[in-house]
Amino acid sequence: MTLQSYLPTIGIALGQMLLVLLVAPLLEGMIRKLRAVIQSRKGPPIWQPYLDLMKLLAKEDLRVCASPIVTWGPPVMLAAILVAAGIMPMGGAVPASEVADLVVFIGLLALANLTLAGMGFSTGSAFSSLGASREVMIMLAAEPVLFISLLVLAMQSGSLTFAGMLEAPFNIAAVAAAITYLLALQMYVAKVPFDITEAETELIGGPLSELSGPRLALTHWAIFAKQFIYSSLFIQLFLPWTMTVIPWLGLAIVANVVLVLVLDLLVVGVAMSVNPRLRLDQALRYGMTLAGIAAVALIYSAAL
Amino acid sequence: MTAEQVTQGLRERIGDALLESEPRGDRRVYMTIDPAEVVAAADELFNKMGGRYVITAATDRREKHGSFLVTHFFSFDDDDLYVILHANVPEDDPRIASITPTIPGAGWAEREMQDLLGVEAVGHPDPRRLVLPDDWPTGVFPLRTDFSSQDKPEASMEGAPQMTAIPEGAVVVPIGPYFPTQHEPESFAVFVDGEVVVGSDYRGFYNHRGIEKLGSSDLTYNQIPFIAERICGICGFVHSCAYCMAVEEAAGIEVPRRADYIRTIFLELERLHSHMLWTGVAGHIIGYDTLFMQTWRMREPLMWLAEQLSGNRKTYGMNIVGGVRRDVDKKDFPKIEKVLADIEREWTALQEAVPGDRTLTARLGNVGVITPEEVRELCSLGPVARGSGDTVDIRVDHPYAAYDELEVSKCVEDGCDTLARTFVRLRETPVAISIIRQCLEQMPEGEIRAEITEEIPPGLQGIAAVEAPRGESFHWVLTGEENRPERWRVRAPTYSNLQAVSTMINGDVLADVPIDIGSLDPCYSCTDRMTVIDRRSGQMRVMTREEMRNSRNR
Amino acid sequence: MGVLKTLWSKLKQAILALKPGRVTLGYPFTPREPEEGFRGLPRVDVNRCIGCGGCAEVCPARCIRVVDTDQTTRVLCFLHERCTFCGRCAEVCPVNAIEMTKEFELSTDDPHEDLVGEYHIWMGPCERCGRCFEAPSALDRLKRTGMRCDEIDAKCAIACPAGVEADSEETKS
Repeated sequence: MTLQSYLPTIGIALGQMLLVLLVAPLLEGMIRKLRAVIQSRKGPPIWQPYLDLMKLLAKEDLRVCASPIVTWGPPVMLAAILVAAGIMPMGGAVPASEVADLVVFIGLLALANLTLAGMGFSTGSAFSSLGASREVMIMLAAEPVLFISLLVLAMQSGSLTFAGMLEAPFNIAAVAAAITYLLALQMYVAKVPFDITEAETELIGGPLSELSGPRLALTHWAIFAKQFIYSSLFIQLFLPWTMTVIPWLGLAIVANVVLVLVLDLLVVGVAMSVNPRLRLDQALRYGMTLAGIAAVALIYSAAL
Repeated sequence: MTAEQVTQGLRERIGDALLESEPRGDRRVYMTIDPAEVVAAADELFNKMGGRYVITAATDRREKHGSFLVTHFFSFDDDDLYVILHANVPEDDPRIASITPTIPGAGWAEREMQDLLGVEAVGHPDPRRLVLPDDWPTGVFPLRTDFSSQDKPEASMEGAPQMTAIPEGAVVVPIGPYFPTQHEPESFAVFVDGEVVVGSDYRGFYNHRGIEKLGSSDLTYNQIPFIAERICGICGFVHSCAYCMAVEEAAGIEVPRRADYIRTIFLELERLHSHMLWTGVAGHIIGYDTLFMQTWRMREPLMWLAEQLSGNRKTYGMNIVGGVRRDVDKKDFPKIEKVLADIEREWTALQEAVPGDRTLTARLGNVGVITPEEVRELCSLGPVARGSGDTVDIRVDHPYAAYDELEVSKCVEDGCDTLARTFVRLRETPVAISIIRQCLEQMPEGEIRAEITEEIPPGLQGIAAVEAPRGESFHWVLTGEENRPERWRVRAPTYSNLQAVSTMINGDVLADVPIDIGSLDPCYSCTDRMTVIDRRSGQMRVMTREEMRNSRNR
Repeated sequence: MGVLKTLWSKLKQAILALKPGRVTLGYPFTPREPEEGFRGLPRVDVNRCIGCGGCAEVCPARCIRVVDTDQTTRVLCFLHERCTFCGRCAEVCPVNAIEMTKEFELSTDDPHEDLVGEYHIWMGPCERCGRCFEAPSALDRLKRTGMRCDEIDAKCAIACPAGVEADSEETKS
């Protein structure tokens, strides 16, 4: 294969990265607005997250410690999330499906989460390290749910690539996997009731508490982007038919963005407005239960 | 226990050491005892007779009497009786036996006495500095009369208290001096092992404004109600009301009945807004911001109503010695009724939703447990006590203002946890609404303020207890010369309740600590009301640095 | 089933919360009048004031100063920076010269300049010691001029429009 034959793939991947980078703050802004509406408030304008990011990026770069994890953590985290965004399906052709499959994808997301935890551990403040240890615990509970529910599709299609998984049949096991994924979505995006890592009123921001300026901006941006790709993955893998049902939106990629916004508002936005934050042990129990359900679905699909 | 029985019992126990016993009506007994027998007397009152310890006050009376007056207050809630136990400590040997080993709840009050008046509590299990700032020189006692309210002593760090020993393997998590969910400065050092709390230490009193000192050195009787109201930003009316009632009791001023009713209306309005505020803040602490926003939305019309009735949304400025300053007019009744009806409707919906909300009950249930025995030992008050099955409610037990003519139902829960305390507050809100309605119905016509024509003579005493939204607010006034009290002692409910925090959070996980502390409805300003300060930013930095160091040496 | 019930109760809460609609006020861009009966900043009517200083005596925040600048001018200085809007001054004023306005927006970057209310009151000087002791308007009521301060002392009860005796509890406490 020549370099030229890779160009379309790279083009699509870069396009998707750019899309996620640009749209993710809007998603956050809309969730904030919905929350404000439920709280009888006026709320900030929906482009507020862009302004926040711009302000933080323009600030002086202060560092609390010289640890390379804190220095390189935020860009690595954002990069890992963006590469994951580049290799996942988003309505168009699936880029790089042959070289980058589900395992790579989950590995990239885990890398991002671990980087966040690492930043928390290395700053040395009590709040940061407690937040970091919580982040690791939450990851241990959430990642199995994510992996098992996606594995159900992989099992059914017999392929670990996204292109293969898109072809998976839509049966009862897939529905169970979809439900567990949806119920765990709040956990993946770390919003109330699962914002245990940051827990402003307990840990004053957890791993983020020692970050400031551009580093905080990049970390925030990565978190916004994470929120977008988790939602987008649900639309693509579990509701692939939506891409064909709404042809009047023209590009499927646009349809995907619109659906992600709707999904996040209805699920993430509402859930975070009407729940208190859970305690770590309660969140872990919730994660275990979902992982159990997903495992049953996996066994069922294996038996099919 | 009647006044005679208490006197009798005490006489049997300490004999001639009971120097004097003077009942005033059926509700108060003033006693003077030999300071040598103070522990025996406290033991008799607290352990044998089952009284509740209220507070300790010390007064500098060296000029006229050549002694310090140390006063322990006890309450018999079932019999509407307060026992005041005076002991004269000679000025050349200002020491008295500590009652803290007998009554754990007296710990802070005695430390405060040591700090501010230099009367040593001999045998105190934890005699560290409590109230004074770290850089206050040793041997300077701001509440003594020879210390002027304008004095600024040289800073010195000798007396700075040490933090208690950190358990092996524990991390110190600083909750404070500034923490998002504690809306006032305070500092808990919480020792955690993993996420589990294994101990804690408290350093507070950062809000000292020298109010008690001002009251007995600078202000006059009728200026104090306004500064008393500013002791607390939420239950200020309680303090001005209690202060005025204490002076009225001391001077024997008969308050017009209508004024009593108006005071009751405002006390209950304050309870309403305070409980709504707390519910919101509790929601915010556990991350449920919608609850916070919605309860505060419900609360806002109440604040506007208070603004219309009193002239201000929070610091009403209604109380004055002898009555109230503004009448509640008939034409305002429909507005009050409407605001109350709106709140009642929305509150009922909320009250029904909370027990069924699984995430909420999961967060609040079984955390911050304080047993009835601990409540009694630590002398906890208000919703904290009532959440653990204690029935103390000053409105019913020691009726004041117009409560003797009103129907007040006590709200008692026996869950002993944060959820129980939440339910107590949720249930008290409709009760407050019903009390205001009764007041509007029964309020008699007449004057709102007693005419005071003669100067208040010195040497009289009066006490007043008011059920604040957080528990019993207790004021004691000893009248003095120059138209001002000789001593004015304030004990806010949080003063007692905060001492229970370390018991409450032990064994919980760190995530529960903010809501555990929050479940007291802590009011640091109330607690920290006194002493003279010299705020030096440099000293605050030392504090923070030390804490940062501790938190880094994991 | 428990999960469904929780989901339903949560959804109900969201719907319930939507009911009241937006309550955010446009303040400070759209001004908001305080309620009827609000006690704001005190203002003095210099034509009524008799310069008795009762307001300064009772002020809990000690924010009123009375200074005589010369024989015929008494200056009432209200340090509004410290004023708590308690209204005690208006309450004890024997001639109702102090009005509690509805003003409350006192934010400024120069409190010493902007938040000081100075009122110059025209006083009648004492014939003997030359210090100011009574406003001419009050003397007019007594139909007397050219008084000495030791003479007026006994007449104080008549002079005071509120009928308050000079030494009573009212003005003192």
